[in-house]
Amino acid sequence: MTKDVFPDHELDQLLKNAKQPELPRGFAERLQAKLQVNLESNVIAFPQKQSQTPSRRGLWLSAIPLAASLAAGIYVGTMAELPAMFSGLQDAVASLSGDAGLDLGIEDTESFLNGELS
Amino acid sequence: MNVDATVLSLKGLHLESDADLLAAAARRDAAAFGKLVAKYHGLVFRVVWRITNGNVETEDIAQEAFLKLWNNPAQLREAGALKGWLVRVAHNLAMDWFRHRPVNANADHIDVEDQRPSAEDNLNRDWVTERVNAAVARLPERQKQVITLVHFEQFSQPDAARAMELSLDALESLLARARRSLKNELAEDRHDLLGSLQEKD
Repeated sequence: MTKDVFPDHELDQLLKNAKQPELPRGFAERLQAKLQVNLESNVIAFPQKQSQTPSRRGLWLSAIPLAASLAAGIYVGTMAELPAMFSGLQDAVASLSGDAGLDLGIEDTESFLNGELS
Repeated sequence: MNVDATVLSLKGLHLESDADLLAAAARRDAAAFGKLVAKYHGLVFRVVWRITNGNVETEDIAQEAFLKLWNNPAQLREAGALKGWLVRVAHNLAMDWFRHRPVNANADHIDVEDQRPSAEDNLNRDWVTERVNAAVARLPERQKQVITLVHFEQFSQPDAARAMELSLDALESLLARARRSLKNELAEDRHDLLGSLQEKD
């Protein structure tokens, strides 16, 4: 006995004629209510986490203000302190050179080496 | 944020693209999201219904799929993929339910009715529907899904393959197996079923 063939078009006909399940009445309203509750619970969607590694370009760009700030700081600091520092130094040198009584001991080096001093 | 019922009306569809509606939903525009729901809730409900075999949990599971989208629309990178994404999410949620359903829910129990009506009124479309639904319900999960998408939801095979994350070849092979299984399930009543359809016509 040969097996009864079940042609494709017959299966298609059955599938086509099977009714689809119907949405329960009030489905949309109940979903709406759920969304409402969801909103009232203040659930906020945050944007997806982005990569934590900044780009090379970003690194350079962020370094520019830092470098400028550093340079300005150095410049301002230098302008304020250096003249005072130099003027102080100049005074010290002038006072040293003008003071005849200042004995640095350098003049005695040769005598010391010759054994005249102990 | 207060969502006015009129704002979240699920009626009044306009010809707006999924991309527009999704972008608006991402800005917490509930009305736009309502339009997306109105457009796809039937599809999502039916996809879940096939997995749960019409269990009462079907509605909650279908709604959960939309809540997932509402809570994080950014997870969907391409608006064009929305339909497939919803099908996938709904299917996965339904499968989660199926795997963890209560112990007292018999694994072999099928909520879809499969009772032959009385002799007087059995030759009608409802009987065909019941027999076909019962046969689909007995298919393995992936076969059930491919029949649902291709035959009941009229997805093209490439769209169904994308929604199921399969290659086209794999989908064709799965569909062929599913159809063979359905034929085996329906073979016994085939002539009566087809006869009832002709009588109806």
